Amino acid sequence: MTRPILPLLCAALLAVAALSLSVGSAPVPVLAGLRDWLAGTASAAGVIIGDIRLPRTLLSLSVGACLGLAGAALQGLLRNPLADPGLTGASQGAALGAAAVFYFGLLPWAGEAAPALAGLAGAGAALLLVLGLAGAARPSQVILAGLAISTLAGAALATVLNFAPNPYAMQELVFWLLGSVSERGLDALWVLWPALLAGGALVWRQRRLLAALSLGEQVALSMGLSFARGGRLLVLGVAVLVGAAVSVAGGIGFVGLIVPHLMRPLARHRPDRVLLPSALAGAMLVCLADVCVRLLPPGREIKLGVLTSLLGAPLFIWLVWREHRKWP
Amino acid sequence: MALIDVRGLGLDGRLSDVSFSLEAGQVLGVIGPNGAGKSTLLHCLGGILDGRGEIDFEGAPIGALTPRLRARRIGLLPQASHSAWALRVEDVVALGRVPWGDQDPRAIGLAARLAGIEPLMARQVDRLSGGEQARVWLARVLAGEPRLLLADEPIASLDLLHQRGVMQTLRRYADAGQGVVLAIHDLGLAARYCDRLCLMHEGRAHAFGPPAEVLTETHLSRVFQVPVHVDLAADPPVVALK
Repeated sequence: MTRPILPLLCAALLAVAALSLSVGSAPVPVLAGLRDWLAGTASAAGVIIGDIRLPRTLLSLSVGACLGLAGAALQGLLRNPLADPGLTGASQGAALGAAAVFYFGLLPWAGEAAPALAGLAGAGAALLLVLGLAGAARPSQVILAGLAISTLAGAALATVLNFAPNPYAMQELVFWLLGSVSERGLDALWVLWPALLAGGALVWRQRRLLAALSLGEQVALSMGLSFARGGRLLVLGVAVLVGAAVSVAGGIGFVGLIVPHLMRPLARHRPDRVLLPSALAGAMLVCLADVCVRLLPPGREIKLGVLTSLLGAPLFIWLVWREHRKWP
Repeated sequence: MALIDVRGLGLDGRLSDVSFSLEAGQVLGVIGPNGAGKSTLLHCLGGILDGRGEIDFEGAPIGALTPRLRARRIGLLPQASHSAWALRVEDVVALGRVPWGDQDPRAIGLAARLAGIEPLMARQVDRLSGGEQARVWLARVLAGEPRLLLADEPIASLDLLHQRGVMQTLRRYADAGQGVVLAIHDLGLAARYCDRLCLMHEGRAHAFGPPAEVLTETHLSRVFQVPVHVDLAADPPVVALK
């Protein structure tokens, strides 16, 4: 049943990408613009498509794929449909890492990749702390531990903001934290694509563990799978995905929570089969949200992360309500 | 050659110097009070816990097997099974093939038939009754076609019909040439379906042997600390509180 939905999702993804290239404040012929940009011809259409809309489209797709896949992997590992990079402290950890790099110029040897590396380290540290605090065997504890670690990372982030060198730097950081894919060049793809490949490979290789974990840790162990090693690799994969996404686009909440939830019925609720559909649907969702951002009346643009949170939070409330009704 | 030969198995504070062997075609019932070490013993055999001592499987040390090869030979049905997701029954049963890395429809179909869940295959497991779910969890282990099946209290909280269904499935599985080790509280059913019994007490094997040797009033009264009436000649065998 999953196989037929993958081609459909791919086709829908292409349609969303085409839509994203064609939507903007000025009507521009997409194909002609792409042709001009590829040929290096200096035309208005070429600049708008190639330098503005193409990076925005590719970035939103990549960030969404990272977040959707990370959410699906995390929910499978923790066996909790409410697990989300934002709710387990991973996003805040990544934001803290990246913000520390922006402010204090940490990891100078890493150059452009420094915020992503710091984001990865932050996300990984937060997830390991959550797992250490709660243990993946007790799914109900994980959300509480995630809340605790998110609060800790949030407090540390507030401290960084507090000691901002100047008000402009602080404003810049706050806007970045709100989450956006605009005004970032194609260079950011050099962070996102390797992260998507590496993180995706780490998660994909553990899909048998994710499937077996449906029936609990003991069953997975009795099937000869190493929960300790596989779990750590999954956490690393999620950290790579979330760290890269957050360091490029800031905080884009609820994608990792909602997307696996939407895809699960299409994948017969199998945590291994929900991975790829979640990556594709996450890409689509973030790209569509960014299209909505551009369609809103001009003036002060609403940030992408603010929009996904405004849309995602009610869905999250509905999910909690549904879980509550399931377990009276 | 014994299917499994356990010598001096121990685990700090929970299991001490347990030895027994089981032939192919036999059902071994592990009995004893709560906390006697029944689950710990099964977990050690299933590779979930790392016990001290020696375990030979089909004549060779079990430690020589990789976890995956071990999982192909020994399947474990844990005490409290639960699916985190609303999986279909056929997908749950197919999980039994994880150690083999395939989705062998023959093995999955056979397991479903043995456990009597063929009509349930397209249903969602969380919508089944407790008794139906118990048979699904059992089918998941059967799908891996293990040489030795470990079942931790597989009939706890089941009604009489489902108790009989699960016990008969395990008995037939052993009769087909495999081995079964199950932890069980119902001593009457243990006497009826098991070839060997291991009476556990405070982490040790208090008695081991055929039901007639283990289910004596002396052994049971000492281990369970209540007076017990035993009549194994009755049909079905009776083991009850006095």
